[in-house]
Amino acid sequence: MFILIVEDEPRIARELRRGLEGAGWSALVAPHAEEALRQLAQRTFDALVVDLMLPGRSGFDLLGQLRAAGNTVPVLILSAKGELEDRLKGLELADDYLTKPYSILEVVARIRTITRRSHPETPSPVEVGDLCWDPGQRLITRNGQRIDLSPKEYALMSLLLQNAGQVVTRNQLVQAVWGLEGGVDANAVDVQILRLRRKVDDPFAQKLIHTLRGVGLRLEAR
Amino acid sequence: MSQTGSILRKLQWGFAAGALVLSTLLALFMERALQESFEAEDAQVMQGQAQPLLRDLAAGRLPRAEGQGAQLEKAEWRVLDSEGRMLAQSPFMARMPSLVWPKAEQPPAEVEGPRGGTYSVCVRTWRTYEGRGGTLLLAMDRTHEEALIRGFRRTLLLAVAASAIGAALLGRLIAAWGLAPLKRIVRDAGGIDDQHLDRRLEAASFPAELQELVATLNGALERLQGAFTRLDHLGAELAHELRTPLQHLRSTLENLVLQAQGPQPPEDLSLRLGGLLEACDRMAALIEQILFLARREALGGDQKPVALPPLLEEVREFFEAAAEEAGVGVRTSAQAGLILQGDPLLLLRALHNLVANALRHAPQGSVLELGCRTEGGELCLWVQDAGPGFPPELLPRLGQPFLRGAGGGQGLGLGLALVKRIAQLHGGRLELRNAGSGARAELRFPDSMGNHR
Repeated sequence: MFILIVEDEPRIARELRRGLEGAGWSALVAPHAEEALRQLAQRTFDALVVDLMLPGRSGFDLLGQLRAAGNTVPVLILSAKGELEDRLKGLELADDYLTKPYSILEVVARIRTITRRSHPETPSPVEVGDLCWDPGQRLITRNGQRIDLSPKEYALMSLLLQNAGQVVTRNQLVQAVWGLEGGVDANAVDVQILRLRRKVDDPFAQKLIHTLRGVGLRLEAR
Repeated sequence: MSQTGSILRKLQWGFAAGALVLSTLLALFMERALQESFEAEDAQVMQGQAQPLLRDLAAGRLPRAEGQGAQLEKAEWRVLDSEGRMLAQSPFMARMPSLVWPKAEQPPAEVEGPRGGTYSVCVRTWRTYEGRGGTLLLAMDRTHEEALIRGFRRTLLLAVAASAIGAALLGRLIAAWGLAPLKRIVRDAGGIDDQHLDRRLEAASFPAELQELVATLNGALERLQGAFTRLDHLGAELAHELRTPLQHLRSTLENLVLQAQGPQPPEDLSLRLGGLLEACDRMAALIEQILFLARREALGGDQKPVALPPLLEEVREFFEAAAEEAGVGVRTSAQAGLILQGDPLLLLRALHNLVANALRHAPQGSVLELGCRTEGGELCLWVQDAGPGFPPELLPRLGQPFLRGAGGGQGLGLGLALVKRIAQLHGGRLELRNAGSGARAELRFPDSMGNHR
């Protein structure tokens, strides 16, 4: 996928680009609205990541012009302003909205979501190490042994399985399991992960659920 | 000063204009009255003079010019025949200047003499029984009286002008005296600054009309002081709180930089860096919470009716696993159908904070209860645990941001302050006390949706 990053702070832009390239995508950086428009005129992008605070014309102006011209490219807004009114205003022109400081993985995950429009939601069976997942039957087995999970544990596990090999952030977890936007009690989330581990990893030699401290979880056969 | 000046000027010119109008009207009236009384008197005198003269003439006698001096209030007369020839006149009539006589019978009129002076003139026709006739001319020198009236008029004009000026000056003095308290407000209010935030204006020492103003100003000052103090306090505490994770960040990074220079790669690199990320997240959360506490004045437009029993169930479900791990039971006791008008996300957050808190202190084997019910016109949401309860010495101060010594570590810092603020935003309050065998946190709101019916 080809992503355009509109961000004037060079260090932040560089880290964003690294993050997106880490997800296997290509990314270009435009330091202001004029440059962004120039780039958009030259090629098609799969998604835009726009910082609202830009020198000269603001991100809002840019998006306004884009939408007025009929461009429906998926847009993710990054902003320091987190008040509800700013969020709602942003979502009128964009597809998603993240406030600073954000997790780069979160950015990746959200770009994935907003570009996923044409793909149907049916996941296909996944294998990780000796673990097999049949989403149609909601069946998870390791070494042929069926693993019984509570609804919450299953929701957690299917998120990990759908993102197998990649890191899933805590925010994504909370969203998937409880439908909340984060800012919840960390302990409760930890407990849920602990219980999942107890059922999925503890009885077996190979550990599949790995924690990356400060970042998230990754399901991987290592 | 300019604002007071213009009120002063308004009053001053108002008084002057009022005095001017009133005294002008009075002066006109008085002058008219005087004029009319003189005219009436003239007419009377002339009539008095004319009657005997006309009688004499009618009887065919010529009136005799008396030898006595012309009395002051007497009209001079001249008798003319039908051709206009003079037949007789009073002695002093000869001395009268030639006047323009009216043509016909009219009430006495004023005419100007050829060399100035004012004369009251009157013309009557006379006839004898035999049929002879002519005109009788009567004249009175009114110059003196006219001068009197003119003098009077001048005096009145001066009086009118003087009264206007006098009213202006006096009005200004009185107004300045009346408005003096405003200067005092300026002086007193000027002494209120960030070093003396608790100073107020003394309402009782001001006149009645200004008391409401002063009371309102004091109210505004009170609110501002509260907000300022809150912000000031939060700012200071935030600075302290942020120092700790920043210190952690700095130390770890410093070590990593040094180790990266060395022969061996740093151990647990991923782990330590992960710890730094967590420190960043903590700081971000702190900042977000502080902004929330410092800024929010009202709920805004995201209010909707929130059904409380499902909300409690959602909270219970969230903490189900964690509670189980801790060996604590969670149950809900919800009065059916209760609805609160508010922000569902904020209410959820408040409950999360309270339950997380309770869970931290609940001993194994105990039960945590969440509930909602109506009580005396209020909606009550509560979280009750069977733990050690709130430390009694801290109880009155719980809910203040960053309270230390609560034994909950970092988490307790802002948690209760946030819950308290969320309650306030919904028009309610947070009540904390030790009840049953543990701590009880209650959120109480006015029952605006009429649940108790």
